[in-house]
This record gives sequence, C-alpha cells and structure tokens, in this order.
Amino acid sequence: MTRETRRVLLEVDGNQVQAEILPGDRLLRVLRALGFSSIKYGCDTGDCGACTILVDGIPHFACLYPAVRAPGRALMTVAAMGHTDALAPLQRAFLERGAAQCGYCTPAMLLVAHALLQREHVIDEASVREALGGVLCRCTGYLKPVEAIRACSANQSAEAALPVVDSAPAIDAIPSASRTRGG
Amino acid sequence: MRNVCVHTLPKSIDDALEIVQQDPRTSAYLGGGTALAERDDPSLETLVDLAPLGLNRIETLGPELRIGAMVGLEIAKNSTALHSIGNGILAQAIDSTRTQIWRNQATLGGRIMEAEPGDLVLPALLSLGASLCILRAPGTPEERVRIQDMATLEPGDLLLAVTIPIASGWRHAAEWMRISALDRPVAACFVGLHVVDGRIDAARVACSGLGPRPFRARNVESALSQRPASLESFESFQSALQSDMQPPGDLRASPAYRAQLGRVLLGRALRRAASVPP
Repeated sequence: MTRETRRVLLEVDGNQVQAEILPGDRLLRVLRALGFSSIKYGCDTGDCGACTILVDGIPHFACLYPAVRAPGRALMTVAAMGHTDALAPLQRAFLERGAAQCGYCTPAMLLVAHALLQREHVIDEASVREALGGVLCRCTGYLKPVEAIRACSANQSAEAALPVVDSAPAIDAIPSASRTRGG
Repeated sequence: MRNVCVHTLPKSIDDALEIVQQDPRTSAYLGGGTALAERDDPSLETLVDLAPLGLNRIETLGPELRIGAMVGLEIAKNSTALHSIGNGILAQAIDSTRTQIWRNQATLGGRIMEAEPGDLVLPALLSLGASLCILRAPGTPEERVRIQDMATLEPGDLLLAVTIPIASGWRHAAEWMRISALDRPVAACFVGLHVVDGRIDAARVACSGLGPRPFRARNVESALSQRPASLESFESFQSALQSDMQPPGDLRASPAYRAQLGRVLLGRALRRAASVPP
C-alpha cells in the first residue's frame, strides 16, 4: 500500500503555513521540517515534554499528536510569545530569575505557563507544579521556573516586585506528591 | 505509526467497524493517539479516526453514568459527575495517571484498552462495577461487557463507552504506591464495600501491579462478605489476597516486595473504606 501525502494548511503562530503530511505523521516531525525548531525533539514517547506545543491553547506533546488532526486548529509555539527585542512578561521573568540554563525545555515550560496563565489568573504553587509536571528539566530543576511563573500571575504581582531570595535547593520536586497516594 | 498509509474519517460508527474489521491486524481505531504513537507498530497501515463520531460525552442516564470512549482523561478528571461517584476514586486515579499534558490528549477508552499492568484507571473502574459498551459488528446492537471480562473482546471490537452504576450504600477507598511522582505505581488496591445494617453485603476489591494485568481479588471479596463493616481486623483479608495475586518482578520491585506491599495497601484501603461515612 502506498502512503498518501496530503497537502494541508496549518495555522502556526497566527500564520497560515502549507505542509505536506503523511497519514501517520506526528506534529513534531511536520513542524520541525517546516523550520519551527523551538519545538524540541526529546523522547518521542510523551515522557520528556520538550516538544510541547499549544493546540487551541491547550498544551500537547507534538511527538504524540497526530498531524492529520492539526488542520483547522490554532498551533502556538514559543516564537509567538515574544522576541529578543520585546520579551513577553513570562520570558522576562524566566530571564530575571535564571529559570533557564541549557534552554532545551524552556520553550515547553513557557508554553505550559502561558496556557496556565491564560486559564487561571490566580495560581498557586501546586497548580504550577502540576502543569509543569510533563516537562522534564535536568539543569535548573523547577524552583526558579515555578517562581518565575508565579511572579507573573495576577495574585503575585506584589511579590514579583520583591528581590528573589535563594531558598531551598531545587531538587527534582515535580509535582509535590508524596510517595504514597491514594483516594 | 510510521507505515500508516491511510487515515479515514468514517461517516458512522458502522463505517468505522467495517473498515477496521476488514483487517484488524493492520488497522486501528484512532482515539487520542497517545498509545498508537508510543507503540509505533510498524504493521499498522490504516487509521480509522473516531473523532467525528460523537463518543465524547459524559451523561447520566437513569441509574448509571455513561462516559464516552473518546472523553479526554483531563476532561474526565475535572468532571463533577466523576467526582460525585464512588467517593471520587476514578477522578483521583486519572489525576495520578501520567501528566496533565499527556492527559490533555489521551482518552478514557484508550487507557482502558491498553490495560497496563500498573494502571490505576482500570482497577478504579473494576471497583466501581463498571461495564464496557461494545459494538462487535456493523448493524448489531451495543453489547455490555463487564470490565473484568474484557479479555473476551476480539480484535476489531469497538469500545463506545463505559458505564458506571450510580448506587447508594457503597463506600470506596484506594491506596497506591509509586517510587516517584511521575512513575507508574508499583502496586494499587481499590476497595468498594456495600454496607447494609452494619454488615458488608457485597465487596469489590481490585488491584493492579500485583498480577500481569489489573484484576478483581475474588478471594478477598469472599472473605469480606457478611463481615461487620467496622472491620477491626484485616489479617484474614490480607492473607486471602495471597491466593488472588501473582506479583511480577521488575526494575521497580521484586515479587516478594510487591506481595508485601499489596497486603499493606489492602489493609489501608479497607481501613479507609470502612471509615467512610455511610
């Protein structure tokens, strides 16, 4: 059986982009082939979160997302948030708090945080950790990204003005569930 | 999905069944797509997309809750209907399944059909007495299959929905243990006790991580029958579990550790279920 290539229009970061997709393609391959390199290739199994993208405002793993379902949906990458000369508040908060190190997971973290802030203006630490739970970071850990995101939420505006104080070491504490959970 | 040649949007449920049943070895229903993408089966050639078929509703129909197979896990988790049933154990089980981003895409139907050994959703459904609504052939009526009998499903059968009885008098609790927050559970025990006049009239005990797939612990259920609901002692039920389980060994735990953990989790779940206000 031969594979049917389909020519489709995708809406990426507010722009219409032409793409050729195969029936079994996942969004990650298609978007990276189109040059959207901020969507990172990581595990390819929905575990690391480096490929996270917003589909109609909701975070999804592009490595698992069927490309055939993308036409007609609004896809958003980190490139739509801001650029070097005009950083979005979230990007600035990440920069000011040292919430990015190697940067591989940063686009995903920013998108997840963006979606969370769009959904809830008042967010607590648990919600941030729950949302970031799908994005693995092996450099900074999670403390500084969590601080940066909380600083951008409406209820944290006063706290955001305060200088950042180093607190407990950022161990891999995502989300802060105990070893034993039960209903 | 690397060798998939055709992606189809069926016009009806019967259409979907017909296409997949022509060759179930090389065709698959596309639900959320997470399991298909992770498995990346090279023999898969045809995807039949279930998205247009309206299987994404959560409805209360008489004495039961019906959850469509295409309901996303994150949507299900946030549904008030799920929180109000069985002391919310299904919503809690979903909440502890993988990550929020993954749950945004994965569906309840997909999670059930995967039947992973350490899954939480399946034992939660087992303890709630859930049934699967299945279509086996085009033009035939929907069939009900109890979830503990899902091994009888044939390749190409289509899962339409899950139904959960809305029954009063049941007390539910669950316990599980995992090594880290995002890891799959090492073992889990879900308990449902139906109490009449202070005695256990019926019990549903479901476990995962303690056998090749999630299962009902029938010996424990028998041992619980007609006992006082206060359940002051748990030893006899914990030893009954021994004959129900076949704990596997893997990188997370040895069979002996799992067996001990199963007994401990069962004791805790029973204690909690017994203390739930009627």
